[in-house]
Amino acid sequence: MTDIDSALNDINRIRDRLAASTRFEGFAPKLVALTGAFAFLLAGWQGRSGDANLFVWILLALVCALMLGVEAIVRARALHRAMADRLINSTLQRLAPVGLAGAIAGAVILLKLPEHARLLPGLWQLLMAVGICAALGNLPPAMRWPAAFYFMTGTISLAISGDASIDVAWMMGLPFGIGQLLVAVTLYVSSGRKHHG
Amino acid sequence: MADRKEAPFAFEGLDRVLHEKARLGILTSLADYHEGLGFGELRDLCGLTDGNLSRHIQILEEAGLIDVTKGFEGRRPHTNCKLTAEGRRRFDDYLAVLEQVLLLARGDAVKAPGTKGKPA
Repeated sequence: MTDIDSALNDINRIRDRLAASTRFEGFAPKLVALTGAFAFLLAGWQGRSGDANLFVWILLALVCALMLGVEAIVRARALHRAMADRLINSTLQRLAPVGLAGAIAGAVILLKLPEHARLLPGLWQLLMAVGICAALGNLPPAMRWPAAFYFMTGTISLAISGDASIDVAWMMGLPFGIGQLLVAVTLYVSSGRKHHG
Repeated sequence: MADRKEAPFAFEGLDRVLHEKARLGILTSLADYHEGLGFGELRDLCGLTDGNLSRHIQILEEAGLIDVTKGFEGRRPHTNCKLTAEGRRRFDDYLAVLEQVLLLARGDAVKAPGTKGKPA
């Protein structure tokens, strides 16, 4: 290895470390709040129509992830400049496994074990909490509160999943609606009200 | 005079405030720590005297690259230094340009701001 290769490796290492300890500001609080509003709306619609189909929630999660992802890339490129790609990769590496686990659990339970579908809201809320905790290094420290909220609601949702009188739509809509609003407020306050999305 | 955009070796991104050995050491030390480091830890990591470190910290603070907060740890005075968001961006921009300089020196074609790839 030449001196130049060695220097390039050193620079790469420093840039990786810099990205790993930098707060990712790509998530737009308004858009996160909108995902919470979507959760309320879908729960309200399913509650009124008596529809308890959880596939629609997977679809909504995909749409929200796509919306947040595209906006995050645009915002990160504007706010983090040369560091943007490293930050996006670092955040994605922390969040993607949890998202994948949620999608696999959802698909397997709904297709193969539909009688256990009522466990999914609690499971997804716990995974949301794990995802936030995994990305805490790149998120504002106050994000531990929304994570704690999702741990709490996930536990409650699992505990009450056996009670058929509770509407599964609201087991999704209420925790995710409030949780996403909590995430949005935390991001908004932590960003110092500088970069509103 | 040649247009700056056509000067592949202008390296405008090599910020003079950052392009100094001691200050690079300080910024590299701080790169790992979002909450920053104490004065004593920085002095030990960078191998600088108290006076030298104070001078460089002042320059970096005036340039808006680091935040310096003075307080107490127990009864002892404690000075904490941390990179600002702008400091993180400018340090990364600087490292990106430095990377391009090295790639050019190695003979790689580089598509970079202010460069047109491998010079003929």
